[in-house]
Amino acid sequence: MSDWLERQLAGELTRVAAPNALGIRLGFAPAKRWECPRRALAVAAAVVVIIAGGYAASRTAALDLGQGAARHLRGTETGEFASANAVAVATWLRGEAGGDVPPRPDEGLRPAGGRLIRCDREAATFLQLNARKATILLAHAASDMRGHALTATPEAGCQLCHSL
Amino acid sequence: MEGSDRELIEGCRRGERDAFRALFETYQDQIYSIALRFSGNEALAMDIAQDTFLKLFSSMAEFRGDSSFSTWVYRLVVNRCLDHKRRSWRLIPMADKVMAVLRAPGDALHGLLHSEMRGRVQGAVEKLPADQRIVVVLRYTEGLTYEEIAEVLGCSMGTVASRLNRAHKALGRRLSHWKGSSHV
Repeated sequence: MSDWLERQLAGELTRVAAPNALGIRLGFAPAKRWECPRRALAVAAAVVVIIAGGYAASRTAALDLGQGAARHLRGTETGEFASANAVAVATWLRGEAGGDVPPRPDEGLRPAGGRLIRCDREAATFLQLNARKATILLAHAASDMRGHALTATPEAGCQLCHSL
Repeated sequence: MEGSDRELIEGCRRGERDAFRALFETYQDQIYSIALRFSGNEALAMDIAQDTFLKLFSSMAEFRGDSSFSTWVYRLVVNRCLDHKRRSWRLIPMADKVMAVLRAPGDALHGLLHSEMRGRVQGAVEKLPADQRIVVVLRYTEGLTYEEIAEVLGCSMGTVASRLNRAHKALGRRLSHWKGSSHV
């Protein structure tokens, strides 16, 4: 036999270390597969806590906002009056908002009713229907603009009312 | 028999788990290596090693000290190797090699060449008849003398020498054309 072959056999057929899996199979080594899930579970638990904490915080904020809105609505006295009779609507608004609201048949608007919104300061909204729904905002009843600051905007909100 | 082996054997006979563990830790590399070099397949080597240990633990009472304990262990693993049925494991080494390449680091040219040669040698050994293969493994993996191999296999030294000689010739034929590429 050549020295080369002797070296190859001696070098390539050396003893190797048994894998840990053998010890696991025979019950002499802890199964690593239980360590990874534990670590993963810890990480997952931390993630869940973080997410839940964030959710709870946002939920708390949302509840705060909701509660604030509810409080605001409870303090808001809203009244509505539905009628296609322009005179009746104007009469109702006059009584509620304290100002004259002239009907505007020249603009092709038909009265649908009136809405009284009391926010921080009094304001009235006159609803009319034509080809589309429109909202006519009155200036705050207590302001100097009352009675002449009529504005027609599609579905304008209370913010616009306040921005007048 | 060495004192440490005797203590381990006595501990195992008393059913002491620590003794089994110590025995396992002492012989795991030896048993697994023989199984791996004989079978050429890690999964099969695991099965053989596991079977060997189970046999070792269950038949501890049968060891009477007629030979050394390590010789007795060698006999157990050799018998497990020879008894183990050849399954469809010839396909598995290819997967092992693929995984080895995938796991290889970027500077692995040297390692791949070395692995290639190791694969050639291992493949050539696998093609040997089982009686020659086990002699080669005991000789080169465990470094046993002809006399020790003869004791493990229960044959004469002449038989060992004859098997080893035939194995060398066969291996020389199969590996000679790789001689020039074995600079790693």
